[in-house]
Amino acid sequence: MANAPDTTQFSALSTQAIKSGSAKPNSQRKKSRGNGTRNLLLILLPSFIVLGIFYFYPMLTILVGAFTDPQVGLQNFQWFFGEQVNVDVLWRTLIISFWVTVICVLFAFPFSFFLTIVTPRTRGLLFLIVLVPFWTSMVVRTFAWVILLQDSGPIGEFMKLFGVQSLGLIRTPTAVLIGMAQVLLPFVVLPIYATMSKIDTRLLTAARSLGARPSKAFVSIYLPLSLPGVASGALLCFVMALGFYITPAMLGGSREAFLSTLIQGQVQGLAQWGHGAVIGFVLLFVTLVILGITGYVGKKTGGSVQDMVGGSKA
Amino acid sequence: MKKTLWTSVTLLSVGALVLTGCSQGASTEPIPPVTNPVAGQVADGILKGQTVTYAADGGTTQDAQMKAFFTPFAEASGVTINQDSPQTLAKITAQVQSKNYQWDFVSAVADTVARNCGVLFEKLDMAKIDTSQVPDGLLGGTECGVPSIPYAIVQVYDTGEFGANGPVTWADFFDVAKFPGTRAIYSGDGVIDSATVQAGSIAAGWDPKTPYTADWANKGIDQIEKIKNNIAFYTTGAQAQQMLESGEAKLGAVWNGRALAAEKNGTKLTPTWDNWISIVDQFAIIKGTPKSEIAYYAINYAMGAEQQAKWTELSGYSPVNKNAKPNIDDLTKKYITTTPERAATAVPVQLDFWKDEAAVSALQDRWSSVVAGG
Repeated sequence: MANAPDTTQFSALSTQAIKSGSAKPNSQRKKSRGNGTRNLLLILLPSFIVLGIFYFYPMLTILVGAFTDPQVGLQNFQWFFGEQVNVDVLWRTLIISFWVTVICVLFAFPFSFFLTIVTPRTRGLLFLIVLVPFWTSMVVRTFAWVILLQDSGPIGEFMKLFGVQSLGLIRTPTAVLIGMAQVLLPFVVLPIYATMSKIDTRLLTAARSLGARPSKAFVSIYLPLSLPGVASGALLCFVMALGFYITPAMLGGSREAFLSTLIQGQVQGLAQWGHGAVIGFVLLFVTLVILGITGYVGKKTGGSVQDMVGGSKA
Repeated sequence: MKKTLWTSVTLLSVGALVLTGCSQGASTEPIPPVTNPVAGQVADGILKGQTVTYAADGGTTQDAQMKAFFTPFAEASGVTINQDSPQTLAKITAQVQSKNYQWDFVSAVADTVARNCGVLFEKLDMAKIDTSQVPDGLLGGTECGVPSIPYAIVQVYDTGEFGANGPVTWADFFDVAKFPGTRAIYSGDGVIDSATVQAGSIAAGWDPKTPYTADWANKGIDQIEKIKNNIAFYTTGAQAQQMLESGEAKLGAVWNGRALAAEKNGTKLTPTWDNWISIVDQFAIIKGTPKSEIAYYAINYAMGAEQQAKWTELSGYSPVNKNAKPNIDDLTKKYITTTPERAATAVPVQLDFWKDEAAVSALQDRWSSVVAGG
């Protein structure tokens, strides 16, 4: 049954194609393009349906739930903003995500630059180094960090040689930053590298031939040209960091909890769906606002969100 | 002519549907009701063709429950038993509200069972479970549960750190000047932990022989808040164990099973047992499940002396049958909680207080702010 409309579509199309051989080629072309779009939509239909049922509908339920669970009203929002701890955790989520982004960009920028100047062989190897952890389960990697960073771990034991008795790294914001930065680094390296690899390095040579010092040439030519990649990497990293759950939960103490941890407590432990929904609502809202602001700033400065999110078009 | 053909086809298919519907209804054997239950026994093959699903917290504990109770139960009764984990309040609520049951019975924390008794959990018909051999003090916490896992929040300390002059009371535990060092305390994974709060209340001066009140609970949270900078909150038992083993925490208010596991891994710990908090997880039946009768059979079977002995051997948790004779080493014995000696210093979780939804929700937000606040 599901195939039936497709077949009719195709046969209709071929009939039209035969007919079009005789008369009115122009209008016919228009018509067949209309059919092409319709076919495309038909092909996309299954994915729309799947997304609609399994993604948009549940998300809508949650967003509506923030206003209706357990009864219609703003009580969930009152609860969220009335409890200082929720606002504290929201701020913490934003601040830690911000610092993770800064760290990732600081590491990814020189690394990506390096990737553009080495031989293809070395580049392949370096990419492997970035991507191998990326293919490993996040839980496993986070566990590995727990072992590395705990007081009795290898780093702690090594520091004992120098008289540092207790490393005190595990369950601190620093541990969370390290763990999250390692997980998110590939997402920053890839867009920055994509942009950098398309920068024409002859521009730098040109600048130098006109008398610019290497640092000057870098700052006024290379850096601005690489910015779209940096912006898209940073944005991706920041937005992904906002939703992190397992890494802050395992490497941080309870005082490094993210909003997602609060959602887990309210929904899984307390069955307070309204509370969970409102936290989800706030998190999504904040993310959209940030995307909106970046898009606006991007437009003002000549780029566009597509440039930032999708990497450079050049 | 054509019309009549269509009508007859429609009628035939409706008839066929009705027939298959009926025959399907008849193919499910009625479940024979439980009569004169004896703990640990079930008639051979009595539940042949039936299925039932059990959900608990997963991990090695659930493995032990399956091996000691439910796999042998399935073999004896002929039932097919499925298991799932982790059980969560959210999923139980969803199943009861939609009347779409994936689970039939669970093992859950007593507070949760008591708080949702009659709403999410069935009020149990105690004539269907033989609890005559359950040790004193473990029964009667809630009408909706019978003991599944008895355990403790007990104070332990690093023997190497404090030696023979370690902390003894909960007041000592919360005294960071007298006994410096990081404390491992349960975060409740976002939910207020009744046992931990009660430990704080005892430190604040609550006499366990007197009724527990919201005032005492608040004073208990005060104690935790006061030493907040000396606490490493754990979210899972594995984390508590890791904190003790790595030496990150010198003291802990931890589950006895995790202290035992840490000791088995070579960490030297001293449990203090003074006013230890006795927690009893409960077997409970999901409200409205059509398979409640099978769940009664299964729970009654789990209560047997032989099953409970095996459970203790496998899990290190205490048996809930007085006649169970588990074959265990001295270290495991050290952490068994269901002995008369331990019972003498036990303080049960005060379910009469903790089952009150309103009282708890007022405390919950304070708890979140102490645990996750800045």
